[in-house]
Order: sequence, then C-alpha cells, then structure tokens
Amino acid sequence: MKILVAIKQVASLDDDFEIREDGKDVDHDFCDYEINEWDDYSLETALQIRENNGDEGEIVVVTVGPEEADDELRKCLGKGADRAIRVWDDAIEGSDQVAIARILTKVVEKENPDMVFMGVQAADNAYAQTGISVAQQLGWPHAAVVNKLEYTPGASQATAHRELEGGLEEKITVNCPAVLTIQLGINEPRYASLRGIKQAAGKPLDEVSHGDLGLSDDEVGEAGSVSRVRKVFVPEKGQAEMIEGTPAEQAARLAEIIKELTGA
Amino acid sequence: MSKGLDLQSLSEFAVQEGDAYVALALHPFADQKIQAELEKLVFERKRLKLTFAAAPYTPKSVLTLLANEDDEQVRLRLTKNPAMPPELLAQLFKNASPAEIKNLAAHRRTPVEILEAIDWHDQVAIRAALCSNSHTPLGILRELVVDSSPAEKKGIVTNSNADVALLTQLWQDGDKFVQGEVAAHATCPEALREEALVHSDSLVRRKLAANETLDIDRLLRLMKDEDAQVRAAATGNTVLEESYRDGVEDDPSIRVRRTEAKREDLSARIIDSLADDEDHWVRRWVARQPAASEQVLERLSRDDVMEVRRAVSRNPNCPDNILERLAQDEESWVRAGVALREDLALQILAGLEGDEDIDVKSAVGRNPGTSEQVLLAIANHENKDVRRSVIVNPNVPDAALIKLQDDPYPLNRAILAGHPNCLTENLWFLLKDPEPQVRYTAGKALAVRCQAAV
Amino acid sequence: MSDILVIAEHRQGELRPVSLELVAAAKEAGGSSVTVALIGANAADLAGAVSVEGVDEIVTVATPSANFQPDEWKAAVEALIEARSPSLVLLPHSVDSWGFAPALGATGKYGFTTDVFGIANDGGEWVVTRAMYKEKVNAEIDFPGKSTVVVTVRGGTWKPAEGSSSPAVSSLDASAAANTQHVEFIEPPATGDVDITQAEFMLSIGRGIAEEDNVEQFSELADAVGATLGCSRPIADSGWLPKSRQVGQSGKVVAACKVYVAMGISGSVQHQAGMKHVENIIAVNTDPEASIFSIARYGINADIFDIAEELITHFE
Repeated sequence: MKILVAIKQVASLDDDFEIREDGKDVDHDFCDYEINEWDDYSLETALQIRENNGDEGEIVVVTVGPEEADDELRKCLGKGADRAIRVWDDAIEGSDQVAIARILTKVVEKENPDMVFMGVQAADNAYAQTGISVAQQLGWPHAAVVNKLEYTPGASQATAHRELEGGLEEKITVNCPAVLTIQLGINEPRYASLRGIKQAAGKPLDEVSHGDLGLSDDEVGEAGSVSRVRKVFVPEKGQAEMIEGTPAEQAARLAEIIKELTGA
Repeated sequence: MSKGLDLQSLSEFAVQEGDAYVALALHPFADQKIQAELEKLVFERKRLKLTFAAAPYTPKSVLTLLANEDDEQVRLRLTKNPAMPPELLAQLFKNASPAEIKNLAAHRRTPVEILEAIDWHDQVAIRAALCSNSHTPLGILRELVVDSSPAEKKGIVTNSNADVALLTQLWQDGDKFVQGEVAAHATCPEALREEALVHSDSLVRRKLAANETLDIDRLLRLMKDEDAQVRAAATGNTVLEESYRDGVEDDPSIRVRRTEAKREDLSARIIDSLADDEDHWVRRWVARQPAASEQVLERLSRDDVMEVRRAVSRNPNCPDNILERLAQDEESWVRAGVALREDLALQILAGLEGDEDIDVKSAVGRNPGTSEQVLLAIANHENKDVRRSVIVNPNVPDAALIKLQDDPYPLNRAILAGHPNCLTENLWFLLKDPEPQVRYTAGKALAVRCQAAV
Repeated sequence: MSDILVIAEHRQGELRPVSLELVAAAKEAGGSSVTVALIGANAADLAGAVSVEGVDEIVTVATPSANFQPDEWKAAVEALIEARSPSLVLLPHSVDSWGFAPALGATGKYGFTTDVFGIANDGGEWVVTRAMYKEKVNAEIDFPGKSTVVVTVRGGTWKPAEGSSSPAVSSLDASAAANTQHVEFIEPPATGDVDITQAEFMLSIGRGIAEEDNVEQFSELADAVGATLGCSRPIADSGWLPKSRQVGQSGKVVAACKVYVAMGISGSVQHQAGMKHVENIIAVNTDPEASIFSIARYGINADIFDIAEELITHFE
C-alpha cells in the first residue's frame, strides 16, 4: 500500500506589510510560514489507514515550494511519513493552481500510489482547487471535502462523507485509486514526538525540478497557468470593523449585532 | 545532559546552534563581548528583526538596539509594542512618521511630556488616539474638546483626568452615552448629579447609580427607581450599606436580587433569605459567599441545579462533611470543584484520585496533596490537556517533569519551560526544542538561574 | 458585450439561493445575455425558480444522477460551453463546486479561478478580484489568451436577483462515466446545549476574566443573551470551566458556530485553531493589538466587565 499526501507551506502576513515592487505579490519579509492546517488532517488520515493496515505501507509527502518548505516536510516525516519530495526551481515561480497541479500530477504518476490525499484548501489563499485539478489531470476518481472515510487498502471502492453547507453530510462511494480532499475535523491530528523529529532527520527528502519530472518550461510558471495575478492591493476596509463609543454605546451596538445575527 | 550553570557555556551553546531565539533570551544577561556575538544572530534576518520589534517578550536590551535601527517597518512595530519602555518611546518620537506618531499617541507607556508635544492639529487619527489615551493630560483634553467629533468626546469623557469644567462642557452637547459617562465619573459636578438623577433616559440614571462617589440620599432615591436596571446598579453600589437596602432580597426583579447576592458584605440574615430564592443564579452566588452558614451550605449542597452544588464546592468555608458528600456527586463538574481545593482533606482527595473524568483528573493533578504516584500517572495520561495539569503542582515529582519535557504536544513543553517548577535539567533539554518559543523561554529561565547562582 | 453562463446549484430538490446571486452578478458584469444552466436528472423542475429578472435563457442538462455528481456536472458544463461559447461562466464558490469546478480549470481550455467577489471587463478581457493572504490582500486576476473564463463566486457578495422573466427553455445532452455514487444525505444532529461543537452562538471568555468568581458573571451573561459559554485554555486549565467548554487546539473546534463573541481572549494560535473559521467573530479586548482583532468581523476595544455589565441590560 502506498498513500501520497500533498502539502503546502502557507504564509501568514503581518498587520503592517509592504507590497513587492512589481505589485504582483507582497514582500515576503512580512510573512511567517507554517504548514497548512488542512494538511495535518490529510496526513493523519493516511497515518491512521496505515496503522489499521497492520502498519504495512508507505506514506510519501510531497510539496511544491522553495527550500523553506523543507521545515514542513520534516514535520510530516517526524509524524511518521516515510519519504518526502519537494519540487522547486525558479521557473515554477508564478505558477497558478493548475500549473501546480500539473507538477503534482507528474509526481503521482511516478509514485503510483493507491490513494492521494490533499487538504480541502490552503489557509492563506483558499483556492480550494489543487486537489481536484490533480484528479482531473490524472483522470482519477475524486471527492471533495471529505470528513469521514472508510477505506481498506487495495479495495476498489471507499466510502466517504462529504461535509456540505449547514452541517448536512453526503455519504458517497468513490472508486479507487482516488484523489480526496480532506476536511478539518475528520480526525485528531497527532503531534510529532521529539524522538520522531530526530528520526526524521535520517529519512529521505528528495529535491526535484520540473525538468526532472519531464515537464517543459511552458508547462509551469505563468506559461503553464490559466490565470495570472495582475496586481495585489490592500482592501479599503480593514479587518475588523471597530465599534466605537462609550462602553454603554459599544454594548448597545453589540446587542443589536447579536440580535440581528442570531435572529433573537 | 545536565551541565553547570554559567552564562558563558549557555551563550556558546546559542552561538554554536545559531539559534536567534535563545540568543534573544540571553542578550540582556550577557557581557558586552558575548552580546556582540548574540546580536549577530538576533539581527541576521530581516524577518526576525520585524518579529522581535513587534514581540512583547523581546527584552529591553534588544528593544534599545532596535530603536536605533533606521528602518521604518521596525520603528512602526516598536511604537506598537506594549513592552516598549517610556524612554525608548520618547526617543522614537524624535524622527517619527505620522503613522508612528499615531501609535505613540495611543501607547499606554508614552510619557506625558511626549503626549503634550505631539502635534495633533488636522490629524484625525492622532487626535482620536490622544482622546482615547487614559494618560492624556487635562490641558490637552481641554484643547482637543474644542472641535471634537462625537466619537472623540466619548474618548475624552472616560478619561479620569477630566475635570468639572470639561465634564460640564461635555454634558451640555453630549448624547445620552456621553451624559451617562459624565454621571458615572468620579469628578461629576453636583449640578449634573442632580440632573442625572431625574434624567429621562434610564441609562443616565443607571450610570449615576453605579457611581461610587454618590451620596446616600440620591442612591436611596435610585433604589426606588421604576427601572429594575437602575435599582440593580444602586444595589451593587458599595457605598450603600445593608441597612439602606431594605427589602432588596424581595425585589421582583431577578437583576436586583442577583446583584444583591453578589455583594461581598452580606449579613447572615440576607444570605439565609436569598438561599431560598427561586432563581438559581441567585443561589449560585449565595453558595459562593464565604459568610454563608453551614446550614445554608448544607441546603444548597443538595440543590437540584448542578451549578449551585458546584458553587458550594468552591466556597472557601465549606465544611469537610459537605465536601465529602460532594466528592461523590453524580456530576463530574461538582466532583472536580472539590478536587480543585488546595485545602482538601487528604482522605477526600484520595477518594478522587481514581476518578476517570478529565476535569477531576486535571484538578487532582494540580492539587498539592495528591500522592507522587498519582501525579506520575497523570503525567502519563493519554489526554494531552490532563497531562499538563501536574506541571503547576508545587509537589510535582522530578520524574513527572522529565517525562513531560518530551511531551508531543508543544504547548505542554512551552508551559513547562515557563513554570518555576521546571528543573534546570528540563531547561537544558528544552533549549533544543523544535518550537522557537519553547527555546526562548528555556533560554531566559536558564539565564535567570545563572544570574541568581552568581 | 458577451454571453454569460450561470450554473445553478440545487440540493434535495431545492434551488440553492446562491444561484440567484450569480444571476445578479452576471447582470452587473454586463453580459449581453444571461443563460442559466440546470444540471441533474430532475433539474428541469427548477426552471420556474430561476426565471428571475435578467435571465434570457434556461438550458437544462438531464444527467443520470438526481443529486450532484462531479463527473456528470463537469461533462455538462463542458458541453454547455461547447454549445454556447460563453465568455464567462459563473458557479457558486460552494462545496459542490469545489468538487468539480477545478476539473474544468485543469483541462487548460478555460481561464479559471475561485472565490471571486469582483468582476470587471477591461477592454474585452475579464478581470476578477479575489482575496489572498487570509483576506489581508486583494488580487486582480486576469486570464491571458482565454476566450472563456470560468470562476466560482463568493456567496453573499451580490444580492439575489428577484422579479420574474419568461426565458426560453431548451435542453442539451451530456454524458460521463460516474466515478462516485451518492448513497444518502445525513442531517446534522440536533443541537445540544453543552456540546460546543454543535453550538451556533457562542460567548467565550479568556484570561481577561482574571478570577474564578467572575466566571459566574459571564456565565449569567451567556445565559441571558442565549449563547453557549466557551473558554480559552487558561480558564479550563485553572479548572474554572470544564474542558468540554474549551475552544481551540487543545479543546474543541466550534464547527457549527455562526456567531462567536470572544471576551478577554487575546487570540493565541491555539485558540484560533478552534474558532477562526466562524463567519461572525466579535472580539472584546482591552489590548488594541490583540491578535483576535485580526480575525474578527467586529471589534470592541474596551474593558470586558464594562461591556458585560452593559450588554446584559439589553437582554431582559
């Protein structure tokens, strides 16, 4: 059994930040990085399947991103993944989700796993796009927003619940191998033990380029994309709408908001 | 792993590991030569410089160096950092940009001389910040009030520096919210107290009733107000002793009775009467009253509402026989309340040591009377939140702390690193933690211990 | 200007209201005609529900499945684009769209992006706006060289189109092998009052409450406003509220919550893990720099005790 888990290192931006000179992105000096929260759940899904399979099987984590993303791959290895692959080179810069998916598709084709798990979306840019794009390019069955999964390695079908709007769920069966996008709350992700983190240092982490995967320059980056960021800008309205006034006035407005939102 | 306590080897460790967070922690403790080494690490990357400029944990010695950096983004973060000492804020004022001045005008630690020197004319954001800063002196408030917007008036009126003249001015063209704040203000002039007393809006009367500088006569009139919220505010006013609050325990409004039940100066007679109140919130507060008699506690400990029994379990004067019974309560939250008591008789605590509920387990984990063997078992509990409870136990065995330094849940290690119970041996171990905050906390704790040892 | 195709969404036999928001978006974007597609075995039954003002045409695509099925829906939209050559195709940014719309984008045939809340036409080219970096930045996205652009549209951005119209109704065929099979819908469990994962309205307290006895005041407040009481880790760690009330990484994710009032909670990463997804977060904190404000919809920079005392007077 082999499961491939694709992850992403996501950025969180300071409140005070600057936009890059070309206007197409923010200055990355103002970003902190962490693993995408959804990816903890998809990795955990893979780890639990292996545990229920008598600890038999390989789990491979893959990401498309620069060297800093090794930190996140190492954490996944620390939790129990066996191998990691990071795909990056300068030509990949500027790729949209379709181009990223094309790269991941090549990795899946090389690895030939029984299942591919990815997060529903990434916490920073929230495209909710990459997983199903990979499935399309592979021509594989797929299901999005899975919050419960029954899968026995080797089976030709899995049963999944999809979390729909308003708490409703849809139970489906999906043919395998498949690409599933995994929703928060499907399980309780573990933390890497310190021993696991130390062991992770000895596990393989391969770095490959788009050329290594057999992709040409015009299949990645802007040329390989179906969308392009023209410019980024700071929205006029800030994050929170601050309620001003004396405490009595603030509370009166808060009461109004609560009544409006809860229909009380 | 255990090493001697000295700053030199600690600093060498930070430099050798190239760890900016440990370097940050050690910086204020190191001598000049070592400091230079540590600074290389702390200032190596722009990203970290920005992070440290904004972080409330950054030591003053590093904030001082950052304040000398000619970097707009660093300065912007420093002027917002709550840990910035007044003298550094004053230093930053010298070449401050408008955005930085706005932050200085809002900062709680900006010296008054700087607040006085800030030019706020035609600067909406700076004006607003000064109006809302509780340290803005009266002289500036007087100038600001002249052309103030309604929103600015609301900042000014809650400033304790406002005087009678300023409050009178604010009252005259203020809305009910401004007038309410004037009525609640310790410096509220006599004439306005009189006006507030008969104000058509109950908000203003209610704010007046909560004013702890109000006289008894006016409070007694407010006790008879038709609006229950006004009566409740007067009931809660500490000025009004029990002899003046006649019949409050029978007030038709639960708001009034609940407020009465919360007072810290209730007589046995009132407590006894409120203990039978039909509203369980009233009974919950009564059950927490230290002055509640054993009979009252006995009665409330058999209350149908679980939260009332829980409140009894938390009463500082709850007698053992009641606690013994509550330790067997069917609701775990009541048993947890008993287990949380540091004064708990050991034989009652022993009875709770085998309780499997996680709230009870955690309370037992914190309790100084819990046996070592049980604490060790809790440090190995499968629930990550339960495990952490033993860290704060003054009698935690070393073996439990050694176990927890390797806890997979990062927060548990962070809390261990920051707690006085943490062993020096733990701290050396945590210096290599994967989480930067844990390493920082461990580095700082070790440096403090080094200094104390010298 | 050009034709716009709107893909309507339905579930359990009912049109999802977001579909009419898409019609409004299409009208505002300035399409020369607006075509609404109804996909599914019985979707034609919904023709009346989408005959609102601004709809010029309805095309039904009868698929084998009555419920959403990603392979069939993808094939249907591809056939629709083939038949009508719209310059813009709008889908809701919804769970079902997440299940198949990216597959359209991944064919490489169309311009594609998601979660769009601004649509403009710049000299014949579609330019859309979406957020990045956890909503701190907006981005303008264009689609060089693509004659058809497919986007998913953020719900609640446009007011649903109203009124009525008499659009022509035609039908189209499309087929695909289905790789997933619908089994059943499962309704959410009934809301219990102590299970915070099921609570829709929560009032949570943090370190700011300072003392155990103050918990009662906020407990009473939560009761008065009709909220379920929650807390951050320090409160549960101190034993002041049960761990079942704790929101966060240790603790629970308030999955069903729609309104979250955070009082005296600074907003550590651990806490945010349990609640940052909530649509309406209202934060009350004395520290204007508290990180909770960066994820809140409404913020109140004030003392929580002042606000609590005042707030309760509005709920009698």
